[in-house]
Amino acid sequence: MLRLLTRTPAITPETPDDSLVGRAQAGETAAFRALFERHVVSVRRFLRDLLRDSHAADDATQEAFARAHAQLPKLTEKERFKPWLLGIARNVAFEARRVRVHDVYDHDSDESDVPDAVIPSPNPEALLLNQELAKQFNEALSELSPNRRAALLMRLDHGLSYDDIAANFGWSIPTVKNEIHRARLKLRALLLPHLGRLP
Amino acid sequence: MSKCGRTHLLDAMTAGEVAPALEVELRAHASACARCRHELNWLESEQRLFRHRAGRDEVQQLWQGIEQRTPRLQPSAMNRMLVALAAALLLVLGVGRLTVTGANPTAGGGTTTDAEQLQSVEWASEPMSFEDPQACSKLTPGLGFHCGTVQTSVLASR
Repeated sequence: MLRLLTRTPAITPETPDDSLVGRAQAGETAAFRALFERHVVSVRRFLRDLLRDSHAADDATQEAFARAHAQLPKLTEKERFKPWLLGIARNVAFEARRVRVHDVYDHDSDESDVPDAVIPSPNPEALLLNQELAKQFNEALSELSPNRRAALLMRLDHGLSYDDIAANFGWSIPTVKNEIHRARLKLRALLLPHLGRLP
Repeated sequence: MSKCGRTHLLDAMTAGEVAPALEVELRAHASACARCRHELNWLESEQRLFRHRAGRDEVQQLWQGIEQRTPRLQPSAMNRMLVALAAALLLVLGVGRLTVTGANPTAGGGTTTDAEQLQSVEWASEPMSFEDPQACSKLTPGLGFHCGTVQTSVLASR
């Protein structure tokens, strides 16, 4: 009741994550709601890419945010909210997959790697961004092993630093770089037939 | 294509992790270095593909599911009661004020005399022309209007 009467600063799009995290840790529901609004699209897309199922992604998104709320008091590096949240989302997705298919995600062997050969250059200006290419891109992503896909998505789609990804996976930075490099090579080999090439 | 010691910097550059001056330098270098140009083409193509698919999904309904899983996020019974009480109070005050001041926008509030109320009705009725027999015949009966003069149901009830 006292909190209702206390004047709190307004939440705006410019309010930084660490400030919202601090306020959410103090029990301000609106601050957590603002964090949800800010990151839910990203988290859901990440989970849809990992689970490849929209309904499962919806459920996992809700579970990830519910866990984030429960574990929020433990988050000391408030500015690292997004990497921390994506780490929780990744755990939720992997648990969901284990339950569904008893897949323990240990298939990151090198057997399906493409050789580190020179792949022809695409032409970024000639990319025809249409439904068909989007479909091919999603299919190419799903060909990657789950850990590599998660690491690649964290870097390329969600803008996490190598440090943050390493912290999430418990890997060293060279391992993260290597995994993402290999994921990229495979993705490029799969996408090449669908991209315009430079003459 | 021969190896180049600067190719590994391009990833950080496309991720916005290098200083603007270094970006200018790297782009100039890539235009002359086949290896870096090739890598930059790929990095920019990937970037465009990821941006293209990052459209806004329908996600707002997910908040309710999170509230259900997180009891501490649900509004407390006390808060709900306070909000309901405040809404009821506002409604009562709002309706009371409307009843007292009537339709006259110049009225300053408080009680008004019958003459003032009549004036306000005349003001409100000015744009309407019910003296026209054709227009008058189209009025729905029982709404408090009478052809020739205009009276609101408030006055008719007096």
